[in-house]
Amino acid sequence: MIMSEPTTKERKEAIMSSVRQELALSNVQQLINGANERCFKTCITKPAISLSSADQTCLSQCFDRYLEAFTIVRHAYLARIAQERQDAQARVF
Amino acid sequence: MSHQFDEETKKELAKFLEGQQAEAQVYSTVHNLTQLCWDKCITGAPSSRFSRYEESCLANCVGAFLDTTKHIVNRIEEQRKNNNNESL
Repeated sequence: MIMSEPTTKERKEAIMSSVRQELALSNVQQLINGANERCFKTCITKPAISLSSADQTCLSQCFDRYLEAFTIVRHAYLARIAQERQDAQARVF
Repeated sequence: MSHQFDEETKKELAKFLEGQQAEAQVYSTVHNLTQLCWDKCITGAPSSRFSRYEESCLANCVGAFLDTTKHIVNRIEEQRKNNNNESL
């Protein structure tokens, strides 16, 4: 079978999917950076050759809480934006 | 040229990118706020669940930060008005 040139639709979708992937990657990186810094500060009080099992338990719980905090904050932020938008519209009419 | 997109596709892509950029902006703000509010609200060692205080602190923290922004913008606006009156 001869490989044909990608169609416009295929090229368009390839661009979209790579942009989506980059956004997802940047999102994960920001999450990791934030959690890493905070959980390191909180859990690793005495750096040793290796992480103790207590350290590891703390890190796991800390990361779970960080994710939960992200969810709570995202929720609060989106709710606030929606509210502001509604208020702005109410002022127009 | 085969690498050029037609006008309709260009428009569609531009719109798509605008949406993705807006989404990236929201994510970036939420990450920023998560860090800020974590530092303010979470003081003890992490456990298997947030205390009631921590949970409400996190939720209130977002509104408080945005209110702070508004307050500061209003304050600047006020000062600008005062300065204008003085110079008249």
